[in-house]
Amino acid sequence: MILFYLAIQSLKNRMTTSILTVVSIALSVALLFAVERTQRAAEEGFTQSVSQVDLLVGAKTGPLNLILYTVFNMGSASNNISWQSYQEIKAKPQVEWTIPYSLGDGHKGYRVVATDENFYQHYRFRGDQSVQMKEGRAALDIWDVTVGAEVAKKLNYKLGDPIVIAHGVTKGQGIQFHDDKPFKVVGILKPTGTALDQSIYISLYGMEAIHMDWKDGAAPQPGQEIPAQNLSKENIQIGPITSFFLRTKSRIETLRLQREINNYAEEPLLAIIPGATLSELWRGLSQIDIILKVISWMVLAVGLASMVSNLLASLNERRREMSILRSIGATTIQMTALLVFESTLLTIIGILVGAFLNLFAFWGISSWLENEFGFYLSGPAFTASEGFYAILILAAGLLVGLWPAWIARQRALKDGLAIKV
Amino acid sequence: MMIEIKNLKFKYANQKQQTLNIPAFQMKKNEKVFLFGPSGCGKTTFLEALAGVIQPASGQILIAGQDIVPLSQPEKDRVRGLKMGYIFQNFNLIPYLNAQENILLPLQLIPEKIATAGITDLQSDLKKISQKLGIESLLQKNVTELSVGQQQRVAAARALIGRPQIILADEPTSALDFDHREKFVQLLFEMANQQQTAILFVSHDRSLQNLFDRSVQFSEMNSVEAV
Repeated sequence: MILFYLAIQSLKNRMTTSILTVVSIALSVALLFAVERTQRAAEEGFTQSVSQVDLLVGAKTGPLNLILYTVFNMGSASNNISWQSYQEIKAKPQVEWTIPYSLGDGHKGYRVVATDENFYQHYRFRGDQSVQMKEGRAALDIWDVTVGAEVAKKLNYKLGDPIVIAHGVTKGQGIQFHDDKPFKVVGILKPTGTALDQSIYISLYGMEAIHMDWKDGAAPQPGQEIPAQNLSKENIQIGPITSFFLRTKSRIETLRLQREINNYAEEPLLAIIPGATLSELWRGLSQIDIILKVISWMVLAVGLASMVSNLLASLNERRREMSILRSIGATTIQMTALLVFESTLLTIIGILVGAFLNLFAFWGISSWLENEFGFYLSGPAFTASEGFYAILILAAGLLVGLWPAWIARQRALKDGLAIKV
Repeated sequence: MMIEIKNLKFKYANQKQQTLNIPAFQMKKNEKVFLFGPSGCGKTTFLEALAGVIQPASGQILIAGQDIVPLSQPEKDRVRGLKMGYIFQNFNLIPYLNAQENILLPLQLIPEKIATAGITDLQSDLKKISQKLGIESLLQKNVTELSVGQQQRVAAARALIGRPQIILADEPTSALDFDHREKFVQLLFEMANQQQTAILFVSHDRSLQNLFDRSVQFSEMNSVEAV
C-alpha cells in the first residue's frame, strides 16, 4: 500500500515531532489505563475484602452497618447474637462452616477481633487468598494474640511482646484497660491489603476471660476481680458474639437460609450477602474514580490536540509535497487518506506505547504498592474496557486526523499546484 | 489534437481581474510548444487549468479530445494521472523518498497506468530512462543529496516513465545554469519523441525557444486587460 508507505516515510522524515506526538498520546493512554486499572484493583480489593462467604450474620441493623463494623473496622454493633442462637444456626444441615466474630475492645486505636480457628482456616479475600502467618501461630489459647501486618509494623511488635487490651476501640483519655490480664503476641499475619491488617486477633476464650469479672459493662469492684491464673478454657463459658460469617454447603441454599435467619424467632437477626452489599457500598464511594477518569480523558484530549496541532503545523511545510502529489495524479481522496493514515498511525503507536508503559510501570511498582500501601494489583492488566478505550481513542485519532486532511484538501482545490503563501 | 482550448475563462476568487481569457489554443500530438511571457502573467495558472487542478469559470479544455471542464475532480485527477506528466521549476521531489521511489511514485499511486501506458517491463524502462538522463547511479540516493540539475532530471524521469501523452513543464530549467538548460531540454525532447509525448514548455526565458516546434507569446493568446 503506497499511501501507507508514504505515511510512514513522511513520519520518519519528521521524526522529532512524530515522537513527541506519540509520547504525548502514549502518556495520556498510560494515564487513562492506569486510572482504569487502579480503580479496578481498588474495587476488587474492596468488594473482595471477604470472599467465599455466603452470608454475614449480625444483630438486626442496616446491611451497610453490619458490613462496616464486621469487615472494615468502622462503627460498632448495636447488639449481640446469643451464643445459643449462634450454635443453633451453626448446627443447621446446610451450613458448612462459620467464623464467629466478637468485637468491642481495642488496642492503641486498632480493633480487637475475638474469633476461633475457623478464621485462620476459612477466611478468604480477593478470591482465594487465605489468612497466612508471617511468624508464629494462630491465637487459639486464652492469652494469645495474633497481630495484623500493619499493626505489627506500626507498633513494632515481635513474638512474645505483651499486649494490654483496652475496653472499647478508641484511643484517648478515660479508657479502661484490661491491664490485669495482659496478652502475649504469638503470631504475626502476612499483609493482606485488606482491613485484616489493621486488627488484633484473640480467641473467643480470651475475650470472655477479660470480661468475666465485669458487670453490666463496668470494671469489677475492687476485690471482685478474677485473677488471670485462675482462668482456664474449661472454666470459661463463651458468651454472646457480635457477628459471624457463614458458608453453605451448596450455594442454592443461601437465599433460603438468609430468609430463615432474617425471620429467626428467638432474636432479631440480619443475614446479608456480603458481595452484594460490598458492591453497593463501592458504588457509593466511586465518585472519586469518575473524577480521575474525567481528568485522564482531558489529558487524552490534550494529547490528541497536540497531534492535530503538529499535523496542522506540518501542513505548511508540506504544501510543496502536496502539490507534487497532486501533479502526479493523486486524488484529493488519496491525499486525505495519506494524512489520516499518518494521524491513525501516530495514534496506534501511541496507544501501544502507552499500554506497554502502563504494563511496565505497574510491573515495576507493584511490589512497592503492596508493601507500602497494601494495594494489590490483582486481576488482568487489560480487560474489555481497555480495549473499548483503545478503540475509542483510535476513532478519535482518526477523526482529528480528518481535520488537517480537510484543510489540505481545501488548499489543494483553491491553490492549485502553485504555492501561494 | 492533443490540446484544444475554446473560450477558456478563469478568475481567482480573491481577484477582480480575470487571470485567463483564452479564446483558442491548440497543440498537436507530439508537438513541442514553447510558451513564454513575463512572470505573473498567468502561465502557471494556465498549466493548472490544463492539468485540471483548478476549475475554469467557462470554456472547454479538450485533452486528446475529451473535455475535462465538466468532469468531477476525481475524474480530472484521473485524466491528469493517466495522460500527463508535470515538471515544476524546482523542488519537484518528495524529500523523504529516494530518487527511484520518486520516479516510480506515479505508477504506484495509479497502478493501472502501467497497463494503459503499455509498459511491459517497468524495470527495463526505468533503467533506460535513468541511463539516458544520466541518473542511473543516483537511483538509491536520498533526493536531498542531489544537485538541482540532478533533481530536475529525476523529475523528468518521473514525468516520462508513465509514457504520458503530454508533459506540462513549468519553467523546469530556470533553476539550472545555462549550459545545463539546453542539454536538459534536448534530453527531454529525445525521450519524449521516442514515446510520442507532446511537451508544453512554459518559460520567461526565450533563449531556449529555437529548440521547439513552435513558440507562443502568452499575452497574445490570453486576452485579459493589463492590470
